[in-house]
Amino acid sequence: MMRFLLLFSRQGKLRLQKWFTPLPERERKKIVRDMTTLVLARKPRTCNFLHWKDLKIVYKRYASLYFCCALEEQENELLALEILHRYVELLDKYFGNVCELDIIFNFEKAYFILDEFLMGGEVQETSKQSIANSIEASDMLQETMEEYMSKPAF
Amino acid sequence: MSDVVEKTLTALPSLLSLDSQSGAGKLSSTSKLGGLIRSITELTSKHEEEKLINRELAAIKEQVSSPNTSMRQMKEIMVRAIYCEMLGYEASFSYIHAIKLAQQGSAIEKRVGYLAVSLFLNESHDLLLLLVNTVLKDLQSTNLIEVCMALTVVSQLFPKDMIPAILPLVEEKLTNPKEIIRRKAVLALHKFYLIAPNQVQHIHSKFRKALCDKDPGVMTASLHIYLQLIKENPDSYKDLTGSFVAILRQVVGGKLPVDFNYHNVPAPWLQIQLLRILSLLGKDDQSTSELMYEVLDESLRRAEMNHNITYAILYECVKAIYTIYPKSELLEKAAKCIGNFVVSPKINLKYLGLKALTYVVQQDASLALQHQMTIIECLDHSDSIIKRETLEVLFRITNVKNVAVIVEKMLDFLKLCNDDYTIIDLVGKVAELAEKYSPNNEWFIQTMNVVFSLGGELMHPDIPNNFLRLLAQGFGSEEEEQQQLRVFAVDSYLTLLESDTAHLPQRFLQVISWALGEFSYLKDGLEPCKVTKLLAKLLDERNVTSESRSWILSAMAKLSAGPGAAALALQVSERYSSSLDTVLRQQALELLHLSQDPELHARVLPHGAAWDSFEVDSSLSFLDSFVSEALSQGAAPYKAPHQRQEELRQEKALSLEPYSISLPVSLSSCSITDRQSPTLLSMSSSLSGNSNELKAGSSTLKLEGVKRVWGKEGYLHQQDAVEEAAQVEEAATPALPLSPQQGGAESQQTHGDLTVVEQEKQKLASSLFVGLGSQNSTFLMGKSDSTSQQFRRKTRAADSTSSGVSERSSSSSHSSCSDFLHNNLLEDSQNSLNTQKIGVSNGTHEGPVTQSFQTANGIPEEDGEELGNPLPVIVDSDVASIGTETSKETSPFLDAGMVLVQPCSPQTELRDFVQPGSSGITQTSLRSQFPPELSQLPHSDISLLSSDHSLSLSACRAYRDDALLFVIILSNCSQSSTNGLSVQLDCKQLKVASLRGNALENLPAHSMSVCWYALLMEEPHTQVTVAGSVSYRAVPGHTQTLQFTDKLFLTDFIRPLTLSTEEYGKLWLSFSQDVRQNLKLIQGEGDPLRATLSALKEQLQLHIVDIIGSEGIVACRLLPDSPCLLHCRIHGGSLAVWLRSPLLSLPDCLLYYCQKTLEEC
Repeated sequence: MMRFLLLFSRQGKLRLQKWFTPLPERERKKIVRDMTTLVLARKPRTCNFLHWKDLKIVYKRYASLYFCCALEEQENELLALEILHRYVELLDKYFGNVCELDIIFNFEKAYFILDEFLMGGEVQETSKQSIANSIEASDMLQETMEEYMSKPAF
Repeated sequence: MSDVVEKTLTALPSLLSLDSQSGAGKLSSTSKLGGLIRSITELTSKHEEEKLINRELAAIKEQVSSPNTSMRQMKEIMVRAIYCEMLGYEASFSYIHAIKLAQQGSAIEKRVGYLAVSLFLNESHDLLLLLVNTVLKDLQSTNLIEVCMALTVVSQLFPKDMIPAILPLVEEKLTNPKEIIRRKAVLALHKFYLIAPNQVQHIHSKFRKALCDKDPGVMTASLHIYLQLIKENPDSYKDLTGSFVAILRQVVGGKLPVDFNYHNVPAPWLQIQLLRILSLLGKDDQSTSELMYEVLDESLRRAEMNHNITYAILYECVKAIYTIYPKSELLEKAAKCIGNFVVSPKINLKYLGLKALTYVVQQDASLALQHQMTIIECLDHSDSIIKRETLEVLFRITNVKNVAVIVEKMLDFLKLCNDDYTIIDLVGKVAELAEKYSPNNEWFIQTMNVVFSLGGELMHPDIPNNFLRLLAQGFGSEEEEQQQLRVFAVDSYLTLLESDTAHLPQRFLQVISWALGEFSYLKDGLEPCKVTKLLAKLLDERNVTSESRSWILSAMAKLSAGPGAAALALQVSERYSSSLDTVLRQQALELLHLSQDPELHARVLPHGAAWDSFEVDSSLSFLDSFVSEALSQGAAPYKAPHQRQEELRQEKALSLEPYSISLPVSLSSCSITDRQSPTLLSMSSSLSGNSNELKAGSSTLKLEGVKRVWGKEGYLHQQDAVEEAAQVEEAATPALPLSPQQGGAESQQTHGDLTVVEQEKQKLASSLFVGLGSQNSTFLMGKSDSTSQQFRRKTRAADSTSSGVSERSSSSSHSSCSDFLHNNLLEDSQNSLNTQKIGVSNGTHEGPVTQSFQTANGIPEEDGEELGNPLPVIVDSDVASIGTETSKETSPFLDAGMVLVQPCSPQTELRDFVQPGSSGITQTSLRSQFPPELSQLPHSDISLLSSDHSLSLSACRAYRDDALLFVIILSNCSQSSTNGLSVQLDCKQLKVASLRGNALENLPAHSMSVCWYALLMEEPHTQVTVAGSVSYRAVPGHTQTLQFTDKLFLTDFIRPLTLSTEEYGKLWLSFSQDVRQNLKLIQGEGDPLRATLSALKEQLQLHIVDIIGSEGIVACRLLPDSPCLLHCRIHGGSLAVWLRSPLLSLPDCLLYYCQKTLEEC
């Protein structure tokens, strides 16, 4: 099971955080701090895996953004790397050539996509198309509702 | 309204195509959030950001509390609040509004509301209760999206105790026509199972239905639950193996829709999940494993594409192949696969390859040998993660011969490491290796010195404790060895103290001062006053904590007898007798007295006294007269604080209704600490100054009761693998062959044309991988090493005997050591010499070795270990300490729980049932072998545990009132007698309170013997697995091992608890852990309550205390003496059960069995 997923910039600014197990606020802040310092300190051409306490940290950099997740002991690191990649693919499909700014300005969308992809720390849906569909369906609802509400009541 | 939405939803795809990139491109640059983000990026300092955000938060606060804010605006505000929280500023005022938004908003607003809630709130947050109704409402909604949102938030966070409220609704969703809802419902149930397993127990059949779902997505989701369930209890799901194999075969064969492909690989997530499940199912189970060989082979073959995801599958495949019952063909392929990983230029694959090696070398050390050069390269890799992983591999292949090199590599890494967690882990490993495989005393002391300096205050307290115990009790049985070790220690500590001590960690100082105080007299020509001076200097150091000071003072007290030391002692004690710290003051005064009265000193602190000569009167009987005098003068009798507290609670409880809800105060935990403190206090005060125990009792580093666990058995060395035994000497020289001249000179003859660097590597390799070569054949067959079994079975003392002997061999050759250095690798004669020595050490094991242990709290204990005698009694050291603990409490059964081995006369009928193939084990004939005290007890059926060509093992459980007896019946079904028989049982979760093994010298052909273990369950578990082994020699000199496992259930340990209604009432109020649940009621003739309760009584050994009207009270206890009370009431057609117990998980576990019993009725 994945314990948490963090997105942060090269400057260590947090862009997205998802916790799959309950943690007190203070603990979360400490983890975010630890992760950013640990991951940002990694030199290029080193492996994408780290140890932190009893967890395995898997991270990958996409452009200016670091995707970083923590796994339990028995999980497969390579697979987690692919989970991160699939998430990026999903973001890319949704935003169209996604960049950090998309995630900054529409972070709630990024959360919605993540919620369709992972649930309770496990992969829920791996099909790119299905996820896109269900996100679209919710978004569509949004558009129509807005239109619906703005229409004058007869 | 939601109907309208659904309609518009279906009509919309056409509309949407106009705006296909609905979310994309819209950077909401005009929104307020956009403005906020932009203004933050323009800021230059953290301070400005703080100001801006605070202003923003103030604005948000004003807006949310305004009644005119619409839900739509609220949604936008929430997004900004989330953003502020993400930046690390608190916006707790908005939490309640987030819940409101989720409650009242329309679908879009709801989505943001739920998101905000899941980001803001924690599982234990009070406001979460307000969410329950919203979730309930949305789960019942006809709008698909609302249901999805509710299920998502439920799996993200939901209060544990509210799960029953929504459980029926979530269950209902399992039959929903939409597969997305079914899938989310399954995942939500998975989450529930993780946080509250007993809540979802009754829907196991529904999980099966989800597994058979026509939608592959739902099936995939259900595998998460199955993985968890199978991990906990593989045996119950063996029947599903076929289905899992079939699914995997279809997936691998590409039968799933293309939609499930990921980079052209069919459903990799599903594949990996299945591989994990299969490896759990096939573990230690040949017949199940056979079902999956083919599909594993197929997976290995198919996953050929050069992509990360295929490597992930391969890795999982390899792990599965090495976990299940081995098949040589597959193992070969898997080993090849690991090879590809390890040599890969891709660093991630290399990492994974090393991980796989770590996993595999435990079974097949030869694989490490194949990749030795890669391992050496990785050892110097620039990435410390790779290095760390390599050390992990090396740790697993350590043996007596390469320990020095490997430990040095580990210490090198440690010196550069600054991560606490890694330091703790590695230091523990180094200490474990040093204790297990130390080649000689000097090396051991030096290594431990480094361990203590590096580990500092971080390391596990067991390490110094074990080390001191080792010093005290000796490394081997040889007195000479022991003294040598101590002298080495004293020597090195003196050197350390003479140099700068400021950098030494406190723990190390404590170890040093204890060892000096205890053993410095052993060193000839060392004046005690010199040591005292050094200690006094240490005492004055500024950074020494008062705990360490107290260790130092007690060391000085031991040394104060010598000439010259007295004056110094006087000086020190004067200074500290006015210390504010009472412990220090007391010790200073003791020091003063002892130094002035040599006679008293000699009596209290005799030099080199045997360890068992001290007896601690833990009952403090010497105070009896004082107490009785005080009592006669009218003093109140002493009550321990926990007693007082409980009385207080009961007094308070009188005013309450009997069954009112009591808050789950963690009474158990606080009373435990309270219970400890008075004894500790009285111990230290009574002990102070009158015995050696002072040093242990008075400071917090307690030696008493610490389990003597010498680390888990890692890789066990084989003494007979002496292929390159001569290299012991080389390995023992701590200076690694990094000096090119030496390395070059040695390997010139063998590797003449290699460069110097390569030669170094070669040399390192030969020292690292020494002693691994000749074992591969035995490992490959899936058998565990037979000789090492001896070590495993034996106690630590036996273990240390072996190292002690090998030490002797190396130290005896010390004189010629320098010669070895120059020609060791090539000298064959030297090899044979060493072989002989090791032969001697093997011989030592077989001869009778008797050792007496003594635990640190001073209670002498005679634990003989005589392997050669016919009716021996072996007590493992940690069991010995358990024994001591229990003997302090009440455990009459300890005395009764002896292991008896009763050889039986050969019988002709035996041949019939002991043949492994013939299924008809005649119970009666086995039972007839039972000694009288067993045969009178109720017991379970006898079942065959395991067997091989000469020995067969059966077992049954006998229920004694004070313990569960695990009875093992050994039958020799071969034509010849077996020798050196020994049984070992191992279970971490249970207390094996009686003796743990026996070795019967001879079991004649066609005879059998019966032995048993008395077991107690101190921590409740629904079920535990006991594993064990029987080793024996059928052919002289060749030890064979027969492994067995069996399962024991909680119900085996449940006994009725007889008490009166009043006692029940009192107990009820004093317990803090409670659980409530509704159970099925048995509808039969007569009173359903009585029928149900008696069914429970029959099945679970409960005691029905009373039945009044529609309520019944029932009591039982978990062995040894943990009560659990049940209050049952008929409530609307079901049985409302309320359980209470002082143990945390006992009610849960017991409830599980109640449920099971009633379901089965």
